[in-house]
Amino acid sequence: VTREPRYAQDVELEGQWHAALVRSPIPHGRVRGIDVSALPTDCVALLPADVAGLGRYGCQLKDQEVLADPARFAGDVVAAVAAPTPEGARAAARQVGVEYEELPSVLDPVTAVAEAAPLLHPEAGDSADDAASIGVRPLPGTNVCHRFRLISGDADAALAQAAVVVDETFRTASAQHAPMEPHATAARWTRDGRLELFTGTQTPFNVRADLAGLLGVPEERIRIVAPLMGGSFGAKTFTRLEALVACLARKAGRPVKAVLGREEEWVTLNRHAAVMRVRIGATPDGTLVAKRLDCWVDTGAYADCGPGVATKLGYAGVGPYRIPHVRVDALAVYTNLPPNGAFRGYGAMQSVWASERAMDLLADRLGMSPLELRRRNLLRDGDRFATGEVMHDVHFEECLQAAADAVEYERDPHGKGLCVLLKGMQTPSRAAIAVERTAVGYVVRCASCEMGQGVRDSVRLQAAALLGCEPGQIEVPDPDTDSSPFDTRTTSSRSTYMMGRALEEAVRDLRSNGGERGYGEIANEGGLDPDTGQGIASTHWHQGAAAANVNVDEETGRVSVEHLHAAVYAGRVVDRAGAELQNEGSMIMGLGTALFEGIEHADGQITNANLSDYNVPAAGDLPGRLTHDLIEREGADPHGLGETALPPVPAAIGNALASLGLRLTELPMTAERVLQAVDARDRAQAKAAA
Amino acid sequence: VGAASDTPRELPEACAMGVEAAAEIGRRYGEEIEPISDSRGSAGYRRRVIATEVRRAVEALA
Repeated sequence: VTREPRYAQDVELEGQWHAALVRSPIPHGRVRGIDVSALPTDCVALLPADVAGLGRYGCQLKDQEVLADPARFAGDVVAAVAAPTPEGARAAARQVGVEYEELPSVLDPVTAVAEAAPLLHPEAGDSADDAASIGVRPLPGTNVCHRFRLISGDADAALAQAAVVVDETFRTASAQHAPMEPHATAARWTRDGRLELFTGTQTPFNVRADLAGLLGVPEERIRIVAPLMGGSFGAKTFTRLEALVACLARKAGRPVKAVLGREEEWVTLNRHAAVMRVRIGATPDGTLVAKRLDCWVDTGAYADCGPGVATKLGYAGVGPYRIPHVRVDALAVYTNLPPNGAFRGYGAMQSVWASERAMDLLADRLGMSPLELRRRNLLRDGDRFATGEVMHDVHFEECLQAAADAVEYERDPHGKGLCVLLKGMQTPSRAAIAVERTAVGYVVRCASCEMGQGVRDSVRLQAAALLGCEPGQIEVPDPDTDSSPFDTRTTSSRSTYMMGRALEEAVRDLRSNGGERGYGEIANEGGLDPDTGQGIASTHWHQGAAAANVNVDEETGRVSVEHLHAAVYAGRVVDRAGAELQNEGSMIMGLGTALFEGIEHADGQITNANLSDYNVPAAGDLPGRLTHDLIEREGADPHGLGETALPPVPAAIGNALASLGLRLTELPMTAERVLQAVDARDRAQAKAAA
Repeated sequence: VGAASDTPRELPEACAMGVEAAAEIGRRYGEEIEPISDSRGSAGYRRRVIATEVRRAVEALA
C-alpha cells in the first residue's frame, strides 16, 4: 500500500475541520426555525443568516441557494456543521433541531405539469448565460424549467396519412452513478481573501464561474484544483458541495473538507427518470415518414443540467434515421425528488430506449425484419438530419451490421435484439492546452479531469506522438484553474477529440516559437435553436449499435444475457486498452440500467439508498459473452467513445425479449416485470386461440 | 426457505408428501410463506418464485 494515487477525498489542508450536512427529512417544507443550542462548543454551524446575502447558483438556471428554504426534496441541505473530526461533525449535525412547515409535494414529472400541481420555484431562476448554458426556455407559472422543441416538416399531418403507425409510451427509472469514491471537496480562504477549492469535479471552470456569481467576486479570486477522482460518470459535474464547503470554511475561519457518506450520494445527484410517448409512422414497405416524440424529463428539485439533458434526449430520440417529418417536445420538469443531472449517456439512454423499442414494434406491425427496417432508413453520408445539419463521416450501418453479425442475427433472430444510436457531443465548446519543455520532457497543462476514464493517458500518448518522445516523458498535472487553460468541461466524450486537436495546435505553436512553449485552442461552433431544434446539434456524432442474445426463465422472469455485443465508431484509436475498457464499462452499466438499476421512492423518500438494496452489476451478472468492436477509419480524427456503448444496451435486450413475444416498455426490466410480460403474452395467445 | 420472510420456514407436512408431489409442495410453500413487498419485488412475485424454486429443488432430489 503506497497511499498513491491521491484522490479528491485524500486532500488534507493544514488545520482543516470536517463538514457534516443537515438535511431535510421531508420532500417539501418551509424552514420555520433552526435550534443549535445543543451544539458542542468546538464546532461551527452554517445557518441561513450566514448566506442570506448571497445570490443563487446553477449551471443552466440559477435556481439553487447555498442553504435551502424551502427544502424541496428529502435530503435538501438546510444547515451545515464543521468540527475537528468527521465523527464529531456528524454527531453535531444530529444535534441541530429544525422545525418545518410542510408544503404539498409532487413526485412525478407528468403530474408536475398539471395545472394544480404545487410549484417548486414560483419565481423562475435566471439563465446562467455562461459557457455552460444553453438557450433555456422555462415556462413561467409551471414546474417546467425548460422546453425543447424540434420541428421539421409537419409530423402530425404525416402521421395522419401514414399506412402504419405505432403509438407507445415508455418509461425509464432514475439511477445512481455509484462511483467508488463519493463526492469530496476541501476549501480554504487565503489571507488575501482568495478562495481555493480542491474538489472532485469534471467541470472546474464551470464551478469557478458559478461560485464567482454566487459570492459576487471576480473569477480570478477563486482557484479550483481538480484531483484524480475515483469514478464519476457525470455525478461530479457542476456545483455540488463546493458552495456549501466554501461558505462553511469562511464561517469557520479555517479550511473545511466534506466527504459524503454512501447514502448521501442518492440525495446529491442521480439520472433523470423520463416518460416518453413515441408515435412513428411508415409506408407499407417500411419507409419512415413521420415521428413525434413527447418527453417528460424529471429533473428533480433543481434544474442543474436538466435543460441540456432534455434537449439531448429530444434530438437523440429522433434516432439515426431519415425521417421527413419530425416533431419533438421535451420538457425538463421540477419534482420534489433529489436533483438529477449528467449521467453517462446523457439523455440518449432514455430516448434511445423508447425510440429503438418503437422501431421493433413498428417492424412487427409491418411484418419486417427489425434489421431490415433499420437498414432501409439509416442516415448515410450527405443525408440531412432532422436538425437540418448534413451528416458526414457516417457509420451507422457499419455499426449495426457488426452488431447483428456478432450474434448471427440474420441466421436466427429468435431471442436476439438490436439497437442503433446517434448521440451528440457538447456543442458549442472550447478546449485549450499548453505545452512546456522541462528537463526530462514536457509538461502538458489542460483542464481535462481524470476520473478513471484514462484521459491523462490519452493526452500523454497523443503528446508523445506529436512531440517525438516517450509517453513517460510527458507530465500531465491535475487541472488547476490558476494554471490550466480554459476547457468547457470533461463531459460528453469530448476530451480525446477536442484536446487532441488543441494539442496539434499547441505543438505547432511550440515548434514555431523556439521549442520551449506552445499553446493551442480549438472551438467548435454550433448549437440548436431551443424553439425549433434547428441548427448544429453536434460537430462530432457518436455512433454505435448493440446486439443481445437472451434466454428467459419463464417461470421466474429471470433474464440471462448469453451474449452482449457493442459496435462503436472510434475514428482513430489513441489508447486501445483504454478504449476497450470504455466500451466494456459502458456495456456493463447499460446492463444494470436494463435489468435491475432503479431508484425507488415512497412518499418522496428513497427506499433503496444503499448498495445492498440498489443493485449495480456484479461479476455474476455479466453476460456469458461480452464482446465489442472499435470501428476505425484510416485518416480519421480520434472519436469520442466513453459513453456510446451504454445507451443501446437496454433497447437491444428489450428487443431481444420482444422477439420472444415479451413486450416491455419500462426500465429496468426486472424479473417481476418480465414475468408480467410472460403472463400478458400467454393471455393474449390463449385469447387468440379461443 | 430463507430470505423470503422474517425467518426461514420449513413445512414438514408438505415435505412428507415426497418428491412425486414436487408441484404441490411448491404450491404450499408459496401459500404459507408471507413475504414482504420491497424494492426487490412484490410479495405476490415472491410467492410465485417460492413455489417455482421449491418445486425445482424437490424435483432435483428425484
